Amino acid sequence: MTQTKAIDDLLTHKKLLLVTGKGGIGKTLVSCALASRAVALGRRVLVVEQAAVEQIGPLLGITGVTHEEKWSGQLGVANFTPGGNFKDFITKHLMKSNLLDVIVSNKVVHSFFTAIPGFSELMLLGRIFYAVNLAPRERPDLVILDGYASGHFLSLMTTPDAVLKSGLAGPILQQTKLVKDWLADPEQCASLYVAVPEDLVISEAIEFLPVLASKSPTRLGAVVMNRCLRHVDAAGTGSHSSAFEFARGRETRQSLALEKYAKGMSGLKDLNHLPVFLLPELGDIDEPLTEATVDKLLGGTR
Amino acid sequence: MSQKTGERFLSGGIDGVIVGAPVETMLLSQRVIIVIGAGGVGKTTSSVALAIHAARLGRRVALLSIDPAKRLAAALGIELGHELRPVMFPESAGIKGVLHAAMLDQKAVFDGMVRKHAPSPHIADRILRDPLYVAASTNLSGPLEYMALARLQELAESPDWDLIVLDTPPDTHALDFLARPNVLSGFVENKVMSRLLKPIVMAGRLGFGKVAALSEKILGGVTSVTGFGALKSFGEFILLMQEVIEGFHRSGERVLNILHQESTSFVLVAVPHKSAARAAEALRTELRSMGYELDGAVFNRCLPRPVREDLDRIPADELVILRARAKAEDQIMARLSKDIQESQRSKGVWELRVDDQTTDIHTMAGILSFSELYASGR
Repeated sequence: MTQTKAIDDLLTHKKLLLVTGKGGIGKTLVSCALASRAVALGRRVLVVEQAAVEQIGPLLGITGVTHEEKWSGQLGVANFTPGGNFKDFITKHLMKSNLLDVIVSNKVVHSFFTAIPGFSELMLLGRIFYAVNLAPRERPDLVILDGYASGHFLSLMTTPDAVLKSGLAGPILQQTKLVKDWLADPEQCASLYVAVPEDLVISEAIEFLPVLASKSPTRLGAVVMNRCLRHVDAAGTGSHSSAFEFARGRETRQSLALEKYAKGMSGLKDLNHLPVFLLPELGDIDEPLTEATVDKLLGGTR
Repeated sequence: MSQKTGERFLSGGIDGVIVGAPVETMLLSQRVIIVIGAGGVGKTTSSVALAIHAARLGRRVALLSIDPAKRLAAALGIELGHELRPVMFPESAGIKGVLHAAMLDQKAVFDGMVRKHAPSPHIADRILRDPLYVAASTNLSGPLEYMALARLQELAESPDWDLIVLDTPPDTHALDFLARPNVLSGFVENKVMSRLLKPIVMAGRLGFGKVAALSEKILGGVTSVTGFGALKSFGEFILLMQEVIEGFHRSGERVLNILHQESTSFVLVAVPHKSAARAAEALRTELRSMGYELDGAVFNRCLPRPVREDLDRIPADELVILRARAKAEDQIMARLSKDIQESQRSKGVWELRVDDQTTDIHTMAGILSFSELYASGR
């Protein structure tokens, strides 16, 4: 199966893709490119982030991304907030608007909830579960979470288990069970780990992926290797210049890093068959993303 | 004393033309340097390089880093931990001063605090085993920043150090703690938590039979969503945190005072990528809204000057990716430079462009040579 086909397969069959990776390696770009492709494949897609500085809007050409889902055709965006998720949980998910005054609007109680370790993580997962499975109408076919950086993502994914073991009871526990079972369904949900072929990033990936695989209920779907250089034609007229040397040097280091990745994964039973999608370095990314750029990144569709 | 923008431009590149030495001036004259930046821009590496170069210039430097790359700690030969540890440089490095570094690891700091402040080892053990505590203690933001500021204050008031470099966490929320170090934002709001939780903790100690008596309307609301059982261990943890943080709360004014001193500098680290530039602008804006101004900016991963010059010489259809990168870099750098130069500081903001590194800098030799890029000339 070609890489493009494999990517399109994921986008056609999954309901949730959780995108993570180290800071500054292109998680948001990958999330947005996948979302554009999924829309082109005919799916209704919601891209979600939970970030202080909103990043998906500029790439998708949508301004004013807030907690409220904003749709433009088959593409929706939202920048969820912990407070908003909590309110939605009470009013939409539990449909207990009578509790709103007591719980959400009461500052004392609200600060209690936001102080509970892991609470905002749980509410984010619950809000996504609601969007895909419970919302009254026009649910998205696919949600892409432009997720937290690795460490924080691990914490996000271990939260449901922690809650289930914590002695919590009541509606939160019941809902957490539902959410966790859904996240653990490999037919519906997958996480994608974004990396770049640089030594330090690859070292972190080799260390992090087995931990994530063992602790997260959601299965890893693929590693997305961003900013892969094309082969530099050594026969170019300027091939002895420092620019060529620089380009070739980067290319060599990338090859070594990719080898290191392959070697690091080869001994790991669950990860040695993990698909690796190689996305090319483009030097610069259009904002908003054009179809041509998405095709360059993910391979042409049709 | 104001200089023209062009003269403030520095280059750490191979053939960089250096005019003036504002980075070294800062390293030699300032008491505190706070380094800010988005994730993945090389902020910790830049903080370490600044600290090493200051030590090279003869200063006694303390470096506080939050959640650093393990490899960097390994390169410096120190363990991750709350206590400052001396970095041992090879003699040949010619470091005249000293550098001590604490690489604050969130979980280590939390565990230490729980052990130190828990009323009994038994309760400490119980909190440390609590699954939610375990899940949260690696990533809860807030308390760690307060701890870092508390350490900053302690070090800044100590005669043992000439310069303290603080590497902040890679999150824009991270700046919240600079805005109001004397307000317990988010995590524990004033006394609210203890008023709410003390009855729960008490109820836990007394046994569940007494809960009904304590379940006033508010608690009824909370427990109708969470159930009751787990609130006890949260409660103990949060009460502990509150005591720790309130201790710091009392010294918050002194920290604010330090942050506003002329001898405190803020340095932004960024890379010439569109998304990183957006994050940098947001950070800068937030910083200004808190009443702080940047002193300087470090731009990592810039294309080396010889590479750029070559690109002008070779045919336009060769190295197109690198060419696209160079063009984007020019636009982003112009935008970033304009943004940061809109400073209210009369002396202007220095800019240091650091070449994209072609060798591994996460070794002692690598980081030493990297830190020389922060020198005024060669």
